Amino acid sequence: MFTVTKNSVQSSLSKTSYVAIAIFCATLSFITHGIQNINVTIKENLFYPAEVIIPAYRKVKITFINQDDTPEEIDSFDLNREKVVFANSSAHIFIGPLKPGKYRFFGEYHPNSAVGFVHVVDGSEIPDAD
Amino acid sequence: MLTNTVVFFLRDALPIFWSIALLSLLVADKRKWMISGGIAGSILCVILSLSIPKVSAMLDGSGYELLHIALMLVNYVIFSWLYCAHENFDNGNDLWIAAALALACMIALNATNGMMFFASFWQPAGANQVLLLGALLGLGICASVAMLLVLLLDPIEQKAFARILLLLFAAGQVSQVANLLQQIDWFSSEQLWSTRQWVSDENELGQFLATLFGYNSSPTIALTLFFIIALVTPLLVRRTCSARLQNNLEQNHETD
Repeated sequence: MFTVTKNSVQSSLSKTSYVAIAIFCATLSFITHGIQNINVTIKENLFYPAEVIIPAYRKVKITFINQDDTPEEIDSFDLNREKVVFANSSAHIFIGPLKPGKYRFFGEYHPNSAVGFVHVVDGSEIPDAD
Repeated sequence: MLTNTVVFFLRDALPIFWSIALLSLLVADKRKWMISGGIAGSILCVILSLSIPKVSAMLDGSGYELLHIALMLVNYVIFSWLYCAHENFDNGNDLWIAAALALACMIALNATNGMMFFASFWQPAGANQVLLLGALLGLGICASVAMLLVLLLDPIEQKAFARILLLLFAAGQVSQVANLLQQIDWFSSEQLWSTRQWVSDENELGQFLATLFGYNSSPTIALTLFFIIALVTPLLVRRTCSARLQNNLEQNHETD
């Protein structure tokens, strides 16, 4: 009798946790759905494109695709971001909301060649990122 | 390449040397915690360096940030405990174990990037000399700064200033959690102010201040809040603990 009660409690608990996880995932996907994604490729220790244009006061996801055989650490003092992108793989960071302006980022392992900018602009003159 | 290596070393190794200097001013049994913490940290660093690509890919690409956050929080708890620990604990084992753990976490946090940097650029011949020279220069600067701190503060024989420096260092380090959480989109926060025109994070002074108290030329609201909470909490805990300890002593005195 006790085992049945214990099992039923466990099953209701697991159901509740599944529902909670589902709600959490749904909320997360709803929140992140509207976020613009911009791809930046790392090739021969250079960023392509070297300048990305994003809207002001909006959150944006930047995905770095490293096509080199060595890792690169994306660093930006202006954006307060730091992320290692391993060889032949990709990694993403979220930035914003940001005020209009130019924000520098660079590859910490190749700071002289791997330099890029995030250009934050006001208004509607933003081209399609992808 | 030489300048890059020196700057890279300054950024990643200075917090390790700074924490060693502060801990050596506060915690006795230097040989015990330095050796055990150093060995544990090095092992942890090698394990992390080997597994970091897999860890990074975990949890929708947030594994690297979450691992850093976990290590930063462990470090902060230990440093705060060391700040709050009363002089009565000075002879116990607790202090040197805590110091060893803190050192191990600091090495794991900061040296993993360095390991990856060296692994990427280490070649059978050629650039190795420049790399080694840069590493030696960086190590020399970090060791000199740490030695200077110990030489300046040790003769004072008062731990109060070293404790405050430790608390500032701990709060500065843990406030970076805010940036990492924003990076993985757990929340967002706007920039509060910019002091880049006076002291940039990119120059040597900015780097030194970043190590000293987590200086950031363009902090967000979240980062500033994290710093204030991280700074004030141990202060309040220490004050409460001291008051309680004094009350107990007075009560014991009265019963005697």
